[in-house]
Amino acid sequence: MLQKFSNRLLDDKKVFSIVFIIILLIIIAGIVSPILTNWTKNNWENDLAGKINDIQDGTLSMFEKKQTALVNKSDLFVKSIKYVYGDKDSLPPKTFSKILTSDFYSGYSVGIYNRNLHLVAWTENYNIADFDSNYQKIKYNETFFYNYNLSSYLFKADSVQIGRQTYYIVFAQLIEKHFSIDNDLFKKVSFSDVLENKFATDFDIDYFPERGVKNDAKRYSFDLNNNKHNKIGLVTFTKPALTASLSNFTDKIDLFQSILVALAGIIIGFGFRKDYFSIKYKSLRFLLLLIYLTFLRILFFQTGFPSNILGGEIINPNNFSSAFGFGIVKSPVELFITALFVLIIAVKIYQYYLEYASENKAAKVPSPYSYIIVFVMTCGFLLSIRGLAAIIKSVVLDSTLRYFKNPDLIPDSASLLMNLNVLICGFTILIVLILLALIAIRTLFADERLTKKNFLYGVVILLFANLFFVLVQRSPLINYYLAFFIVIIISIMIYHIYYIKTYSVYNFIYIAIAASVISITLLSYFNSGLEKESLKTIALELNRPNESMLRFYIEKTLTEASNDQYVKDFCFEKKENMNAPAFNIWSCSPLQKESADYFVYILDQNKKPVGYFSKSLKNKNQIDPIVYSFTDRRLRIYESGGEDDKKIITGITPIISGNEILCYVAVSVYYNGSKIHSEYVPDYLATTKNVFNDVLNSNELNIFTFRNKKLVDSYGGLALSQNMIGQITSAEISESNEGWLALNINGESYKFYVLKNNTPTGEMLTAVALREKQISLNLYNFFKLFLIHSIYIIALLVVVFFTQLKKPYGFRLSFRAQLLTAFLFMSLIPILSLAIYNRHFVAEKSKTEIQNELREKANYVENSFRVYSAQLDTLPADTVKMLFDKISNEQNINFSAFEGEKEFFSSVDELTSIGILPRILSPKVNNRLNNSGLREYFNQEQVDNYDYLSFYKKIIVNNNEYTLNVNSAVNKINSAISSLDIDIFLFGVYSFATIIIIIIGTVLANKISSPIRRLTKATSSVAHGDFNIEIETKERGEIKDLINGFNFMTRELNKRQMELAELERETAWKEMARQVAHEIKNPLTPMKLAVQQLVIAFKDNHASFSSIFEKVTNTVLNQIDNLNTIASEFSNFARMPIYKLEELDVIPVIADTINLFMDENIDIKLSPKVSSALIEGDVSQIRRIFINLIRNSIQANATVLNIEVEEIENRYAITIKDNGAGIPEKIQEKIFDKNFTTKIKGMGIGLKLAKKFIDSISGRIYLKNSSADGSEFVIEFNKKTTA
Amino acid sequence: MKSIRNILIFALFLSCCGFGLSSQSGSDEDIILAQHKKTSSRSVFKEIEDGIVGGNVSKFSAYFSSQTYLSLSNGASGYYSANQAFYVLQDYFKVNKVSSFRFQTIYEEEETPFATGVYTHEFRGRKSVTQVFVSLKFQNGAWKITQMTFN
Repeated sequence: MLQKFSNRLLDDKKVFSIVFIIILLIIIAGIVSPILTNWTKNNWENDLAGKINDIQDGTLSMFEKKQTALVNKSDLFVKSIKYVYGDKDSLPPKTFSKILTSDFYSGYSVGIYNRNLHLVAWTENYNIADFDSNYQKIKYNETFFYNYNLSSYLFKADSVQIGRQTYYIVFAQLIEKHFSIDNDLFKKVSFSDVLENKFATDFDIDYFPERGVKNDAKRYSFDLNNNKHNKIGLVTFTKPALTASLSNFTDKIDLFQSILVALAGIIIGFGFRKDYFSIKYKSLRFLLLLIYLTFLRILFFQTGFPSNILGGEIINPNNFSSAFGFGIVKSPVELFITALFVLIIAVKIYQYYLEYASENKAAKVPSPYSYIIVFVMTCGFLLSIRGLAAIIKSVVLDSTLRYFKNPDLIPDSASLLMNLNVLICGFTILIVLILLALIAIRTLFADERLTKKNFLYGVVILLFANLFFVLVQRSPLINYYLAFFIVIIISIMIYHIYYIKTYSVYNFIYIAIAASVISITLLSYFNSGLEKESLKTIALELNRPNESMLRFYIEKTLTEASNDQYVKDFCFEKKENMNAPAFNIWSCSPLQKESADYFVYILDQNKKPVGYFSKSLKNKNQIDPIVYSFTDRRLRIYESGGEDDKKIITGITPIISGNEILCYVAVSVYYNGSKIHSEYVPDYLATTKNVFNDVLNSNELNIFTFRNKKLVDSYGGLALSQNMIGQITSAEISESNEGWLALNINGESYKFYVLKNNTPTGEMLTAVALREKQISLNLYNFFKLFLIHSIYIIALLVVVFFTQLKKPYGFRLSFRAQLLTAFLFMSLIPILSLAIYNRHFVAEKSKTEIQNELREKANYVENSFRVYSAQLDTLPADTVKMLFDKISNEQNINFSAFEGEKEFFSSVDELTSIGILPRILSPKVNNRLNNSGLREYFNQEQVDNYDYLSFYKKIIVNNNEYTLNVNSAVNKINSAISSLDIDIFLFGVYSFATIIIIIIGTVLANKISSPIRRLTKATSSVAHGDFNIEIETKERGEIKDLINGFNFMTRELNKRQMELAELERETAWKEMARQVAHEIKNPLTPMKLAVQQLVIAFKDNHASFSSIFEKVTNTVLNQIDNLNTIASEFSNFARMPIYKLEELDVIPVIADTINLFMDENIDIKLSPKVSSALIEGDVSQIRRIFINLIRNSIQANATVLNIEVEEIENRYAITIKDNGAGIPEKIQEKIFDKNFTTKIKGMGIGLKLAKKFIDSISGRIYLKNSSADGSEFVIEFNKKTTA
Repeated sequence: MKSIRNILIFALFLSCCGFGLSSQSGSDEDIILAQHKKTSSRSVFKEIEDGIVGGNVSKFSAYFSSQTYLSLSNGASGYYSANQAFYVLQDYFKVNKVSSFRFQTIYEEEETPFATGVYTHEFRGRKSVTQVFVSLKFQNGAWKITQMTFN
């Protein structure tokens, strides 16, 4: 055995030597790691200096790159202007504007001022509105950091003289945003973050030249210099720590070792492949596979492979994690690995079972134990359905992914992987269910064909069993309707596999489609449950007494604000725009993630509000008056408002530098059970992560609060009538103070969750409502996921197709495929065109509605302004601003007014002053309105990843010209139909139509091509010598004529062939008889003469009679020998076959023959146990033999035919076994007789000829056994021996 | 023969019902197990504190509710199932290795007691300090963590 093993090792040198090397590397890594760790510890001081230098050099290099690019662009611009226009007196109009539209300047903010500091040209993103007030403080022709509101820019300004005009040219690149908004619309720009990610240590960049170095034991600082080597900033980073470095190193070694171990496990599997496939017993092979896969999965789990080398959202437990199996499904990628391994096992069991069932007979009469087996199978079936439901439920509930909420058609990587996981799990369970059903059927009915009637009864029994299984469960995972649907789908699959195509590999495609439908339906079901639960969560959240948490957050916010250098700088310098630090404090506060609205105020030393921010953009002047009474020098938190449900919690802290109070920061939160967000919050500022929009889109929600049965507050666009209010307030409330209600409002069905809360002020009811999903949305949701699953199924189809395709280079579409393609082409193109046109049309209509609403708002503002200003004699600037402010508050419209290109007024100055919205008119708009003479203009604008529409209108009042701007960023626009609604309708409905077209097209293509396909096969059979074929048809018209003609032709061919054969035989016999007569005559003549001579000699008493006698007898004997020879030769000739013998492999010949019967109602399986079977034979004869045998099986009503090829000593034995009616015992010995047949139209020579040929090549054919369950023939051929 | 078979099949069908009736104790287990005595919230906070100190989520994972709100300094924020909360926190403790932790204030008199503390940890070789807030609620006979923030 050792010898065998070592021989084996030597034979598989490549694989096992790789494994050996891997093991060696693992050992080496284990030995080297502590050595290197010690060496690192001992040399840390030297290393650290080197690392610090590397980080410093790397940082400077990255900064230099940015700086050089900026300087080059700026210098190039200046040089080009000077070169072209340097000697001119003036510039042609719009020169700069034309240049700045080039893409060359994208990514840079460029502004050009004339000598009056009037902006003459600028890029779209230029927003530095205070350059004109700072231009004298700036150093020209060198870079520096320009800090504007909440952003820092790398900045360079130049001046150019053209004629008598001086131009100031500003180039700026945004390098750092000092704020962050917790949603996907915000685009973070941070040079310090880039450095942190690159060097894996904390960075802090001061964009001020005055900052001093902060070197200490833990931190290291260095200066940032500009192109003139002047200091413009300071970079401080945390020095790499030994522990972090060692930990990093150890992690890398662990990662390396774990990858090697995992690779070794995989390669070992490859190494034993040949041994695996050479094992004869399938059950043993399966057991080994199971052990190997289990071992490999445990190995992967222990080593953390492949999660430790992958990154991103697919390893994030946020996206899915379950404690099942000690963590083998703790992330999406771990679930994928586990599901894949289980899938392989399930598919193998399924394949092995099918092979086993086809090779082995089941017991004729099921024993009593069979019923126990069927009982167990049924229980397994029901539990497997529950198991699938449990898996899908876990996928929905144990994940933050919302499969139906995201409107994007193509989701992110985590969602794509989880969709694949869902499909794999559904597929695996379906395989198991089908297998259980097949085992149960076989156990009960053995090899007897289950009638379709009995099958139907079985399905009904299963449905009833399922009903009881659902009813008796205390907490069923799914309702009966869903279970019914699942059982029906599975029954359809079982029907197809059992009755139509048992062994087709394309069954896996159908199973995948069924699995997709079932799993998406389950996903939708559990998601509905989650949505329903989220209504409860929202109501609980609103009523949750989170006062303590709010106080905690306020304290944290204020503590951080008081230590924030940025805030201190603003307060110290008493900058004009204090909204910026207020916004900064707001954006850094953990309160941003909360649904409650909170307000940040900055007050000067006299407690006068100088800065403010709140995301609802309102309550500017509603500062809590308690702040005015604050006199402490420490943080304090107050509560005001006497009633429990109407509290304001306000915290205030002084900002102290040295001993001086620079300013105060106050944060207020309305803690109010009835205070829901009634104010509009711009999408750009809304956080994506709160309980309101975790499961549902918050704009789908409607929330109402009632105190003592009166409506006190509401959120959402739904208006309730008194009757509806009555129904809600008198809803049935359970002991746990909750209830559910369904109401029909404006023709739509709404689901309400009602929560009761008793407070000192009375009974509070919180009702959260959600509109029931319409069919179009359900369809959209279904097809959205089905589209993703289809991509995976199509990939599987491609793989299956190419593994089945024998001649990949000879790919052609069949007639049926061509028909189907033509139908789809003709149908889908107009459908798609219509869908695209409709979408565009509806989108345009929706856009027009938004434009109309914006225009209407602008008109309100203009008309109001005219009315108010008409009452005044003069309109100084302050008065105009006051009027605008008044109009904004009265009309509840947010707008800005520009004078020239600069902002004159904004009702949302907390956003414009901090740079979120522009303070400078877009150059495109400026060109249209101020230069081209238009009065109105719509402009599509963007802030970070947020797109919105702006409407601009010029108004002239009292000779003052202003440009009003009303946009959809800060105004709630109620569109009748959103782009999502359009997509839902079009995608859902047209996808459904596409599916219908595909189904109908497939059916039609099948129907039309069916007679052609049958004709093709039949023609091929005839070409191979099978003249007994006849096609039956119910077709009419040309097809019927064609088929009738074919049948007639075949019959005539058969008849003519037989006649020809008969004639040939007759002719051959005649010729042979003539030849025989002729040959026989030859020796007869001398014989006659010799005998005559003998008679004469005897009569004459001839003296030499003895010699004559001897001579005559010799002659006669010779001639008799001659005759004998002639007879023998003729006999041999008659027996000699007219065959063309050659060396051939019988397996492909049989395979080709089987293909002729693909459309017949018989499953033919070829199972060669050898890779090739070389014999000496006649290809056409062998083909004819198998055609004959298969044809006989079909005519005996067989539906399954197995052909096996095996090697027995020096022969190949081919077993042909069917499940037909069998051959009665009394005629079994006659089947090889000539002209014996039991068929009406048979000739009775098929088996005879087959035997004749086989015998002629020293082979053997015999009937091994036959019964009512089928017949088994065996053909034996001698192996072709090589010389 | 056929009738015998049909009867046997019907018996099988009845057996499935019986199986179904007897098999559904599993779903009650969660509720049964959850009916332990009402302990003081302080002892629960003690267990949570021990778990955080050791970076071991298993010590307090039994107190996760079906929807626990987590807000962590690595950006993870939202409502998580008990399963998810386990792995989200485990990952967090793995990256932000604890140096020390203690609840500085525990308010246990209220209906929803809460505790705040300071979590000192190492991140990228640098010691950082994070404020921790944990609140509990008594649900179905047991204390459950409603929210946990590390900000």
